[in-house]
Amino acid sequence: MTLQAYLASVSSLEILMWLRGIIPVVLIVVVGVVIGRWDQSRNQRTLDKLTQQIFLPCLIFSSLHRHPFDLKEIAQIGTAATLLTVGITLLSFLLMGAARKQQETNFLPTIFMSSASLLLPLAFILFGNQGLAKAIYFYLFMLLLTHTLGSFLTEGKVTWRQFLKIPSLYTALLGMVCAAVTLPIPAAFEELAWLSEKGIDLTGLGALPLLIISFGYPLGRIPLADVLKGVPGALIRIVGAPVFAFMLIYLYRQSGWLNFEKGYDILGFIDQRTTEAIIVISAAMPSSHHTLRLDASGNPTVSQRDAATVLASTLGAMVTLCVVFFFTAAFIFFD
Amino acid sequence: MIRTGARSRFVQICSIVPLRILLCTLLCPLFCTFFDYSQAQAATKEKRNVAMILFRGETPSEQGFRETLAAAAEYDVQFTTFDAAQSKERLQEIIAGLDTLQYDMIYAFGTMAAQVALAKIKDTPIIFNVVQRPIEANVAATWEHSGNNATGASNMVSMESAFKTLALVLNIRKLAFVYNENDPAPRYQRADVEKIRKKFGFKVIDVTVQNTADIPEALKLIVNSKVDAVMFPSDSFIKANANDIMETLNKHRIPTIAIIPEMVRENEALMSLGPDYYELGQLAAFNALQVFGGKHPSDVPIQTVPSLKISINLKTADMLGVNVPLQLLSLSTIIR
Amino acid sequence: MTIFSPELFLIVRAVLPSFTIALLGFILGKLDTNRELNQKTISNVIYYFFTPCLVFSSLHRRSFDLQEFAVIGGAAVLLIAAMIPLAFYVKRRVKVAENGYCLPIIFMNTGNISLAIALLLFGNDGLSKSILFHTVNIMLLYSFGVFLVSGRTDMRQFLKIPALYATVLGIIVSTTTFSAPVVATQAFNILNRGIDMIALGTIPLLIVNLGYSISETKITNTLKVGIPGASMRIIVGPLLAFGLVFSFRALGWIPVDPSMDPLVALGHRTTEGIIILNAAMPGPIMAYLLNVKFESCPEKAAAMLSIGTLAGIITIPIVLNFVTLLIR
Repeated sequence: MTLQAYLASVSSLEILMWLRGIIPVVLIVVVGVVIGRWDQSRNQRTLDKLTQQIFLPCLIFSSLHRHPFDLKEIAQIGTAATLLTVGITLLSFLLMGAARKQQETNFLPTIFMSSASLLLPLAFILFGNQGLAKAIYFYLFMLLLTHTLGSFLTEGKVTWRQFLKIPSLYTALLGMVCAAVTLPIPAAFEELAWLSEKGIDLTGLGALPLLIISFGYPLGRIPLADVLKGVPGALIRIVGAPVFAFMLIYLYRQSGWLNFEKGYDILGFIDQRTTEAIIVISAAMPSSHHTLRLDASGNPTVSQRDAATVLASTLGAMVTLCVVFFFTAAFIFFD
Repeated sequence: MIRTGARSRFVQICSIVPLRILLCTLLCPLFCTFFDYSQAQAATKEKRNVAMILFRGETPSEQGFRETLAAAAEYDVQFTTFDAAQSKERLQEIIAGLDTLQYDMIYAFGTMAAQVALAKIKDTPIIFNVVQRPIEANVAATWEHSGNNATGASNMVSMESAFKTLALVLNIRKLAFVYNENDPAPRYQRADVEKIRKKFGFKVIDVTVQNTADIPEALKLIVNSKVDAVMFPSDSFIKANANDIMETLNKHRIPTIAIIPEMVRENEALMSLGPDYYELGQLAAFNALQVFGGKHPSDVPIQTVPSLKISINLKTADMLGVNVPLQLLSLSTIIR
Repeated sequence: MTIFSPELFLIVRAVLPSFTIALLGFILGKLDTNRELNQKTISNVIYYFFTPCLVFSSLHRRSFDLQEFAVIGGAAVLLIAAMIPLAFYVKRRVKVAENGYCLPIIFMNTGNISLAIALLLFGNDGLSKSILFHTVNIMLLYSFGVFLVSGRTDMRQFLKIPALYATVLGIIVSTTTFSAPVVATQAFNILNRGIDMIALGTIPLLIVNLGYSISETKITNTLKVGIPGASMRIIVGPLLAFGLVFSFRALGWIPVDPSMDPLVALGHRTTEGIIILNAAMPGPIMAYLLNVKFESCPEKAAAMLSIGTLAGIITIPIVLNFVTLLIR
């Protein structure tokens, strides 16, 4: 199939469905920015604490305990997350090593993407329950990498204790155990368990808008005039990373690690394609807002360059995500 | 300036009578040969008469069946249609009154029609279509050899696949299963649902209807039970009454999954997972052609579609506030 | 007729998820020793963004029935009006001077707990009706309630209620039948998806916030004045609601016809259930926040809210059990 044929295979319906997913997310980010600018308390921790301590763990458990446990799938996504992170780190050192030496940047906004705040809601909107579960696996690996590679780059040490205190980690493990092991529940308690699950599901769904809003919250505090300083880092983040991800997918297919046969049961085929799409879309996410901290006055505590990278990557991602999606639809989901 | 020289020379040539005669002599046989060929073709096409016994009126299956047979070069097939209009009594009347000597083949839509036809008609080949479980329904001994005078196409859908497809879009703990108790086909599907129930961890609320008067109470039960979704098996009665049922369920924002694809387009069900009915008709027609060709129906394996189709109604999805995952798009028919 | 029927246990189980989520908020509150969670931020976010989105998301999808709106809205107004003299009676008996004491007795917490229970017990239809009730309740809280506690009438405050505009917009959209161009329809659908997404966060955030707020209050000192008010709210409230529902039936405002279409009948019974459910709720957190704003015995209001909410774990299932027995 020629390149033209690939690109032509993306129908207007797919583009419409993409717009139906991305535009609401952008609008809610804007709501987050508005709240961030209007909130006099300047307390980013309020939303972060709510999402990290309650809502996100509920979302993770709610998603994973229903998703069939597949070690191969976890390995595929984990390997992709690790290779992507290592690759982008090397690229950052290669292209921006001088800036790091001058302490203008710690590379974190370039290396680490928004693997929860934007990725999880977008994965759910675009790819449903299936996509959300795979995005959660990606997020968990990024959490691990943040507390190993990320903290090594900034503090020169690995922060295992911080990592082990994250509630999402335990709810993820609990969810995976529940999915892998079918525990016989007495019929009398079955309804009770399902009703409790309904409460957790309700709370988990509440995580989606809160995550996006918490992403937008600090963005309004970054001066727009500084955005150009963040362009190099942003380009590596939102252009370099997805290109790398597409190369990874190609390698996965060539090695046979990802199957490409339809067969009678098309659901297996869909599952594999969704894994590929999640890897690519995850790679294309803008910088994580967690690399950005606001002080009591509501100003970023990180370097100007890093703050600008977050802003530049977020603004740029509005375009690059559309392009990445277009190529994802053409090369991954083509008919 | 008009150049008449060359033209008048040509006219002069053509005005020569012998040349005209020569041209006619050359062209006429060619024309006659062609005419003779097409007439000969028609003359060599074998006439076949097929009685089509439908249970709930015309569906895309019949269209696929007819068009495939009409395109066959060897046969000139005439169709006579009998519609039971969902009445078992009417169905039995039709089959009892059928003069099988007039027909080379009987086409039967659905499990009930196939069973009734097989009970009565032993000599004339029967092509059944849209029979979910031909072996369990005693329509055939095995998929490869029916062991009787019937062959055809099955719309078998794995309930596990149907549930997995639904799970892509919704979280299900309570599923209502709506079916007509009198129709044998949905019962097999209900049994399949029971097998996967424990595996996927959900509860099934059986909602049975026997006639239209039962529908309001059935809807009340569904709404009151606060189910996560409603599943409609391949059931002709439900299909015939689908408009009223779907309207109420969509109003109460209860998602629906159907095995009959037309219910998504025509009745605004949320989604369906099942075979393309037109394709089923084509498969049944291929089997019919083999029988016309001299094979015994028992030796013609029963066909199933190579892959199932997903249909999604986007308008219904918006009404229900349901996200349609992108990965389904490339493999689904989206009705807007 | 058995009081402790199997349905009671079903109801307890339906109510439990809401209290479980509130418990999560409570635990978070107890662990948050640095008080990093800013209650004002959360309340503002809920008030200005989440609640209007929930109201619009729910109302614009269902057909607007003026009679149903009149019955539910009218019930909310009558229940609030009926509680006013009772609240003042209790205020006089416990010898409290401030009018702010009456707010948690007169008004109900129709957002934090009842929306989740309405959804779990009565489905999407119940949720929509509960939202209608909630909208009327908060509109009266922000108009009459502000007047009661501050002595000032400020219609500008009333007109600033975002949920008011969300309600009006929701009703307009649901009743509008003109066919818009395809591009406009698509644009509306896209915007709607954003609104729906924000609406998803409303109910859990309300419940978590409730739990967190309760963790902050100390009820031991004001137990004596808190109990009478809380009792009036959660015991007399549902009794009045039962009386109101049966009066509506007698007047024919809510039909009871055995030959009615079963789904239509179910809809009417759901309306009745929603009225009684909301009347059984304890006082609203907003009442406490208004008392704080106008410095009108906030600690007594907080005590009433805490006692009423905790007692609701027992009283709400009992009330719902009676709803199942007598209404449905």
